[in-house]
Amino acid sequence: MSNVVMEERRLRLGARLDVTLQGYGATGFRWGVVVEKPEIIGVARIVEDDPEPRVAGESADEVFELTALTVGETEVLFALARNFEAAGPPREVRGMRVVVTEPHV
Amino acid sequence: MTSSSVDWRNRFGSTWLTKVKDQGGCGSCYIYGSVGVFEAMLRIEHHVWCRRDEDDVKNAISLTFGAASACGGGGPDHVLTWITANGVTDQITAPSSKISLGHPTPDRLGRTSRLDKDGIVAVKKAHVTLSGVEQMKQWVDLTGPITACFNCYPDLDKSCKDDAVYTPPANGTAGSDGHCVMIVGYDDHKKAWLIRNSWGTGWGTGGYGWFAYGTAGKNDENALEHRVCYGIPGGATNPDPWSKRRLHNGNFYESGNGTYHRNFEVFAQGPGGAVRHYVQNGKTLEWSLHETLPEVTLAPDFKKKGNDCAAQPTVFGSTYFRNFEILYLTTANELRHRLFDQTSQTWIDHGPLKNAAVKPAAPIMSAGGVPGFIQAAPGAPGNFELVVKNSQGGLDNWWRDDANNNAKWALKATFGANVRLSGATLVQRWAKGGAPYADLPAGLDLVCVTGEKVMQRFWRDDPNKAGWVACETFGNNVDSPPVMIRSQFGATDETVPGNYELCVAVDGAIEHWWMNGNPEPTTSGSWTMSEIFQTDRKGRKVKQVLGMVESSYGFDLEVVAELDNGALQHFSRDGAGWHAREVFA
Repeated sequence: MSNVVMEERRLRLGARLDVTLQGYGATGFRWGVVVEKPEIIGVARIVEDDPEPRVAGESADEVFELTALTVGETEVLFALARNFEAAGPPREVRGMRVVVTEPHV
Repeated sequence: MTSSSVDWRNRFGSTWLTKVKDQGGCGSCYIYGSVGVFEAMLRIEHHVWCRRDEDDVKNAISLTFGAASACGGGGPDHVLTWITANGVTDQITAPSSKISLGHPTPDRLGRTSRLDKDGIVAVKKAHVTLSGVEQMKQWVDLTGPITACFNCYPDLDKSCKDDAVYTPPANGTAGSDGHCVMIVGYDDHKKAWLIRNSWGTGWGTGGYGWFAYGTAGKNDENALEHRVCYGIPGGATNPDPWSKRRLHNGNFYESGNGTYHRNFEVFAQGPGGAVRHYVQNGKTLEWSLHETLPEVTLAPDFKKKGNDCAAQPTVFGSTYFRNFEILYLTTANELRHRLFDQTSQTWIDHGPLKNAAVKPAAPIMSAGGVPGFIQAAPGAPGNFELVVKNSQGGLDNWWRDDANNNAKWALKATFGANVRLSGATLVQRWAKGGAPYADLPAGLDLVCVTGEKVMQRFWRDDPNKAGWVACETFGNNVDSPPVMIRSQFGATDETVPGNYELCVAVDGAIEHWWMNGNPEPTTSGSWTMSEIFQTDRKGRKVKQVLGMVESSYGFDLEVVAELDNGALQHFSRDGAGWHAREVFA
């Protein structure tokens, strides 16, 4: 993923960060996430409660919660793809380099 | 009482749905669902593949509301209302000739299938709202597919494989997207709707899936029945002449006119060289003389008015405003081109065709038979092509370059020898190499009668080249011009060419021949004579077949022929074979 622009973020140990990506679920495309070193960053998908149903074609944003688990540095890649189609290049990839530091740094 | 199961993918022995599409990353499912229902209803009501372009609607909405608007979601009601006002064009794959509302070509109106409420007696709109399982099932069973919008959850992504039934989550909308699909059937045994998605063939089972019926008190909020669905009454659909251009030839044409957009139009030589226009009303099924065309100005000084039609005309509906274009041999052996301007509702005489390549422009002459006269790709508007017998016993291929709007006729090729008669048999071929859509440029096919009284096919392989190739011969003792169309038989989807169908009068009866159109025959084809039929009028014989149509009536083939007393008779073929119908002139 050398051609992916990597956004750099710094988190203190134990901190959490919500990453919100524009959703494309109504088109069959969804964001997937891969963490280079999962022992440093944990990821959970957040499902938000929506008060109103969406019109046809409108997609909900996708929200991922990143948690700093251990000190270190890792890449987090978000890839937009259809998980029911044969493996191929994702439609879009976004990257993040996350540095986890001690709480007092 | 509705059927216990319906599947429009294969019903009544035919397919009714265009191929599964892919909306890509744009949230335009509501456009795909609506246009898909429109295509299906065109097919069900008129028995023709009418592949439409979703981008036509998408571009219009984006132009109206902003570039990204159409991808941000919407509703089928909005789309169907827009289609009622504007129609939807076909697909043109060449970027330079892309048709859209934002970049219209001169013939957009003639390549636009319409949706209107003129033919609808029971309802006031060109689309209807449906709700509840029973009402939806009844419509799907008795009329056709409908749209359905729903709360779409991530677990739908990998569902519906191998015909498995998908059941949506229980009530609540958390994490759901808005989505729209087509309902193209149902199965009471499975207790599920058959849906067609617009996520390509990789989703579900080839793009289709089973979606569980909602149940009272459970799942209702996420059921397909929860939101309003939309259907299109069949009589509201009006296919474009371009989609139907291979389905008719000779003096016979099924137009979009009339209550149900399926009037038959016949143009015939009348007394004193006049041209008469007969119509079979698509609602009452009664034939009548609609009009006698106005007189034209005649050579040499073009001051005197009169009539000069010397043979049966050839007609088609062009992409120019759906105008009727007719061409006939005159008493001076010239070819006169006239058109009915649908905009002004008047006849316009373009006069005898002239060869613009010589100075001064000389009339294009015919030496017998009936001209083959069609509008064909390439280009938008498509060029007019003409093949007619020349005085040397060969055939001349003339063309008019409409894409460049010069509207001048030029000789493209002279070919063949020992030709006895030309006929209304000119048909555009399917694009070489199994090209995806019938709109792509392709060559031409033609059948003439030789001096040995057999029929012979010629083909031109490329629209931009002039080389005609002589192919197979078939038939015997033929002494009248044949008529040929390409039918929907064998066209299992919109990318597959249908069979050739040819009718010709031989020894007082009509022979019906056909040839498989897939794989496309090139230098040799194999014709089969399927039936010989004749008039039911006592003591009468068929003199000449004048026109042929594959109609909106259940894929029926329809023929108009001239009897030996000059009368015109209608024949048709349904599942039981050919039948002699009304003598109407």
